[in-house]
Amino acid sequence: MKIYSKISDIQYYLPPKLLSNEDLVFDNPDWRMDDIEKKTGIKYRYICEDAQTSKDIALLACEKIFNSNVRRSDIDFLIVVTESPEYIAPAMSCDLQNILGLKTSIASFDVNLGCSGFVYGLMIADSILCSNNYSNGLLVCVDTYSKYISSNDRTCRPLFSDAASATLITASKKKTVGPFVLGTDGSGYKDLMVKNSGTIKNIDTERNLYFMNGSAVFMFTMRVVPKAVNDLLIKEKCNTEDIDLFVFHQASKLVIDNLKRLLKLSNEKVFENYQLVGNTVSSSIPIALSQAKSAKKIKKGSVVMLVGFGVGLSWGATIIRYN
Amino acid sequence: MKSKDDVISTIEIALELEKGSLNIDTRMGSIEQWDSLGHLSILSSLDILFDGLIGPISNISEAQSVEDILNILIENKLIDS
Repeated sequence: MKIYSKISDIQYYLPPKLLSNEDLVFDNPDWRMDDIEKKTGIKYRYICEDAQTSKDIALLACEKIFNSNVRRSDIDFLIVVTESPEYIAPAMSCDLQNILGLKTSIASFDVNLGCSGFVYGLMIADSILCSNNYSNGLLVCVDTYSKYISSNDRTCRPLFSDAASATLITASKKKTVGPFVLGTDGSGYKDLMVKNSGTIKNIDTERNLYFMNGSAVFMFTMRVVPKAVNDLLIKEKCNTEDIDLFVFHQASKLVIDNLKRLLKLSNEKVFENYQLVGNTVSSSIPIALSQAKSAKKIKKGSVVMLVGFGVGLSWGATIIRYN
Repeated sequence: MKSKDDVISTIEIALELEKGSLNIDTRMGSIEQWDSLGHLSILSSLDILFDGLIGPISNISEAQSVEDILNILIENKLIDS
C-alpha cells in the first residue's frame, strides 16, 4: 500500500522578550515609527535573551511535541531548517538528536534555508517518509536573526522575530501534502545575506551582520510569488476558489498586501499574523498554520496553500489538505 | 499610455507628499519620506498604476531618483519619452 504523509502536530516557541515599536524608538529617536509600522504592519517582535541560542528555543518547541502525542522513540528522522545554528559544524540536528534523546538509528541533518525553508523541509520530509515507509519525522524550523541585526538597522530590526517551530509529520493513507513548486534564483544571493559569516572574511565588514536589499527582495517577491502560486494551481488543476486559505510567509504588511492585490485574493482567504508575531523567517508558516487552526480558520476538510520565499533567493509553494 | 506627470503624481501620493513636492531631479534620501521603506511604497504604487507591469522590471529597484524611474519606464515602453 502506498504511504503518504500528513502534518499531525505543530508546536512553536517564541522567546519571552518582547520588543515593541516604542522600544525601537527609544533606541533610535530619529526613526519615524508610525511610518515604519504603517508599512511593515508589525507592532511587536520576540527576541532571544543574549545567552539564549537557536538550539535552546528549538528544544523548547520540540519538547511541546513530545508532551502531546508522540514518543521520542517513534521519531524516524529529524530535519532542522536554520540559518542561525550555534556552530557552522556540526549540524545542529545532530546535537538536537542527542539532547532530545532520539534514537541513534535516525537520519538527522540541517537545511540551510530561510523563509522558504518550511516548504522545502516539508517536501524533503514527505519524500523521505513516503519512500522509506517511515512512520514519523520531525521538522524543526528555527532562526534567531536578532543575533545578526544591529540595534540601528532600520531595514531589518523592525521586521524580524526569533522563533522555533516543530512539526510532526506522520504516515497517512491519504495524500494530504503536495504537489510542490520550488524555485531558486541565485543571482540575488547578495540581496539577503549574513555578511562575513562563513569562510570568506572581509576585515572591512563587521562580522555576522545581516544585510537586506529591501527593494530588490520586494521586487523579487512581486515577480516570483504570484507565478509560483499560479504554477501550483495549474499543477493541481484547480484555481484560487478551490483554496480555502493562503498562508504566505509573513514577510510584512506591504508584501502580503501586494500579493493579495496581484493574486486578487480577499482578506478572508489570506491568513495574517505578522502584526503581533513579526517575521519569524523559517517558522513563519508553521506558526501561522498553528494560529490559523486555533482561530478556526482551518477546519477539517480545509485546503490550504503555503508559500515561502526569501533568502537564496529561493521560494516554495505547496498545498495541504486537512482530512 | 500614462504620462511622466502621472508617474510623478503617483510617487508623491506614495510618499504622502503634497502635489508639486517632487521634480525630475529629486533623489532618494533627499527628502525624509523617500527612505528605503518609502521606496517600497513607490514600487508598489507604480505597480498598481501600471496594472502589475512593474514587477518584472527588476532594475527599477535600483532607481535612485525620479529621473531614474522615468528613464526605466521609458526604456520599458510604459511611458513616452
